[in-house]
Amino acid sequence: MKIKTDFVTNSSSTSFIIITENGLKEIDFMKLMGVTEECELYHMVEELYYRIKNEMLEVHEAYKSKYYRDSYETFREFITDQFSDEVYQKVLDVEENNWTVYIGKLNSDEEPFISFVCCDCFVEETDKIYFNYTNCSW
Amino acid sequence: MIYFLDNDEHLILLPDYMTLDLFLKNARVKKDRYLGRTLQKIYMSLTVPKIDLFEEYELFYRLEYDSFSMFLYKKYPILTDDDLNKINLVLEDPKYSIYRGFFKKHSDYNVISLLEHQEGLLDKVTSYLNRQANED
Repeated sequence: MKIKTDFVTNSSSTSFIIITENGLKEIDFMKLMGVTEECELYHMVEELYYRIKNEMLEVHEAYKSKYYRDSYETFREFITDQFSDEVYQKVLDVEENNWTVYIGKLNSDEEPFISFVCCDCFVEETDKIYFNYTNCSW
Repeated sequence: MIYFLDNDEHLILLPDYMTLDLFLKNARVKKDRYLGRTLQKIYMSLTVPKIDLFEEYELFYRLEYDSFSMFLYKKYPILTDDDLNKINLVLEDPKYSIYRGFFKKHSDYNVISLLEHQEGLLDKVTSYLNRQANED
């Protein structure tokens, strides 16, 4: 038996989907999240933006990675297992219109606001971005 | 000002003009978007439900303690002399009241964790709770 004596964490990660027409831009993300330029909490949400930008991959590219290919037999299963049939249908619909779908993960063992988002369950949408964070394991 | 107590309750000083809409306006966030909803959760956790401490003193403790200041001093030993001086100073403004709330008893764990650990957030929330509409 192993005994760990120092700080022990119980972190977990959850997936998100982001759909945009022309990539993820900071100004559009801040508007999506309800943050104005004068908001003193801008920096807190900006950290989330950069984390998401860093973690997201084009969804088909992500599906081709060994990690996901070994876990899911089909692309449909890959999306519906983490999200829903509705989200899968949305992915098909937006791709027909040349919008790009990205997928990624956030970890609960992060900065407090990122961890808060990681443990939350929500969908935010504007005319420029669709952000689905319903893959909540808490 | 907000003071977190040992029993998972908190004391909060609020001006009578404070509303959820003003709080969100002070924070400069959109009410119907993610950050607006997150701040709404914090606001509700800090202000609903709450008990007006002065009313509680008048109803139940007036005979026991000679003054409201003495009531605060005896009832809340966690408050330092400096805290009590600041509270009494704020309460000289008739627009302000002090309330007992139940932040850690009634809040979502994630909301508690966010307010406790996100650097500077508690100070900013406190500031939004005390700004008047015409202040920048």
